[in-house]
Amino acid sequence: MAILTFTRLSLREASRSRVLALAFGLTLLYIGLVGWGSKAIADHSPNALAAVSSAAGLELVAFFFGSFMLALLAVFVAGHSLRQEAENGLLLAILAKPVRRLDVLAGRWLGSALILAAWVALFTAGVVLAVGLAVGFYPPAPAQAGVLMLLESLVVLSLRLLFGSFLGTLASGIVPLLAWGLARIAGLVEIVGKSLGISSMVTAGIATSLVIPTDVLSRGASYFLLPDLVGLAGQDLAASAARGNPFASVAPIAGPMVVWSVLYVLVMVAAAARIFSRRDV
Amino acid sequence: MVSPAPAIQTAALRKEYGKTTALQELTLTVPRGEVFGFLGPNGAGKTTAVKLLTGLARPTSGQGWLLGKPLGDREARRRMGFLPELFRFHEWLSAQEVLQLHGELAGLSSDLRRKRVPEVLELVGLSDRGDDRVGTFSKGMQQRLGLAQALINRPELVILDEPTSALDPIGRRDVRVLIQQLKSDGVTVFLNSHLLSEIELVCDRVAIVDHGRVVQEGALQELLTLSHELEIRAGGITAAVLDGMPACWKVREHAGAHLLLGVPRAEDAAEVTRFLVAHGVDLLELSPRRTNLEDLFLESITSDNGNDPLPSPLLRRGNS
Repeated sequence: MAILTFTRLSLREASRSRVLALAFGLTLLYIGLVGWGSKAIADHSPNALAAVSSAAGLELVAFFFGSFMLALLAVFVAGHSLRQEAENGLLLAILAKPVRRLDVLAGRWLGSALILAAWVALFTAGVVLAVGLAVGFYPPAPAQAGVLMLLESLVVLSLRLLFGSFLGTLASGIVPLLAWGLARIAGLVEIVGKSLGISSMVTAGIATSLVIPTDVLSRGASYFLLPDLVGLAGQDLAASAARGNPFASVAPIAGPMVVWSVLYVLVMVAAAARIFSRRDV
Repeated sequence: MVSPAPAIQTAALRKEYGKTTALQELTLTVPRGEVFGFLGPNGAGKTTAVKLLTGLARPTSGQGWLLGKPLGDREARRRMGFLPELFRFHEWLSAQEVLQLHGELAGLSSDLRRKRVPEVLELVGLSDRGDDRVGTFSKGMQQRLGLAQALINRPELVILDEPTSALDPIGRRDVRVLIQQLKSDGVTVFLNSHLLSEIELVCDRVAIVDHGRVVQEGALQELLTLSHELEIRAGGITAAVLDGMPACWKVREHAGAHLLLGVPRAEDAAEVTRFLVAHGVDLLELSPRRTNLEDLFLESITSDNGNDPLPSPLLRRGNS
């Protein structure tokens, strides 16, 4: 199947890319630092509760910045924009072969998604184990957190391929990152709005999440990483710790939002395929 | 038995990019098994035509068929090979890997690819470089690799867009031999080239395009003998003599004792001789001049436009 040919091509390109090897290497270093930080916290905490809550906090921050690294990776891993590759001649001999352009695009999407999944698995397992081994705290559902994080990166990847079907490499990489950043700001606006009881800010945040569902997925992931603060410290403390916290969400992501995000990815890939298929190269 | 559809057939194929018309009206037929030369000055629409034929771009209007299938059809593309003018390969792949990839995309089984990849590497003279990364290849070697990928699927029709632009004289000769070999195997070759001498050496038929339309098309030998020219050196060629000539004899050049005369048939030389002698001209020399493709080419694109489109005065022909 031609899709899988292009998937393998993307994976092979990634396996030979020094930059990607460097990115994975730096991720391991990052995980090591998180582990070292957690150990230091544990060694200097007055009691187990303080150690766990501090280490859990560090873990949330680690994931918060991890989601930024992942967004960058999602933009990078898709390689040059398809438009650019068509213009510089790389795709000419390929597109004249008996392949559908959808195959080229979907194959690249799948290959990139597999690399992102590998990174998310490494990152999630690495951070969770690093903190767990140092402090003994394991978040309740790291796999669910990883899945939402992966979905977040797939939104970025799909935007990248959509814009790459008609923009050059640089522009099609910058736009999804700006969108990701915009969603993050909108998410903060929503959190602040919620804690201050300003409904228009909350509405603006939710509306942005519908247009760019990256931040809502990121916050959804953080929910699964939170320690059971209620069990640890009682209802009031848990509520006050969570209020206005940009790193964590005390409520799980709404089911329809997850469905919307999956649909969003499919629609973006379909739109990219349609634009790319109709394009003269 | 039903004869197979022509390798390429187009009817009033037109392509516009915004307000620019890249191809005005391309109507041509390329019979099977022939080597077809597609010529034209820069910007005439050759590469646009090739992109339409290979399905890389869609026509604004008009129709076309490749191996009997509508343009862009995947089945037709499976039986076609294409070397684009501007192309690149994944630099991090070896030559073998590039050909494996293109073979896979062309729909060859892995067994067939294992057999075919070394064959085409051999065919283009890259056997000893199969394991080297494409990034280390010279432009000429990349062009050879481009030819190899165009032939990987044993195509019935090969479209070559400037296949020798980066090649040295040896490479050009190799490609010429390769094209002749393809022809003897019954493969149709559509050759888009600037190199008139090359086209003249290998093509059975040619089409000359200018300003997005075909201005000459036909069997090369016929086109070249369409116009016969006689080079004459003689004393006493007066205006009266020239005026008395039949209308089908065209004075191309006349300066003093030199006269270049266009006649419809080669056999007209005898009649011209008789005419000149009968009109008291002292005939010193009369020899037929064979039109070459360059003459035909320049003449076609000049006459099409009414005025001379060629920017360089060096390229202009002397006119009477």
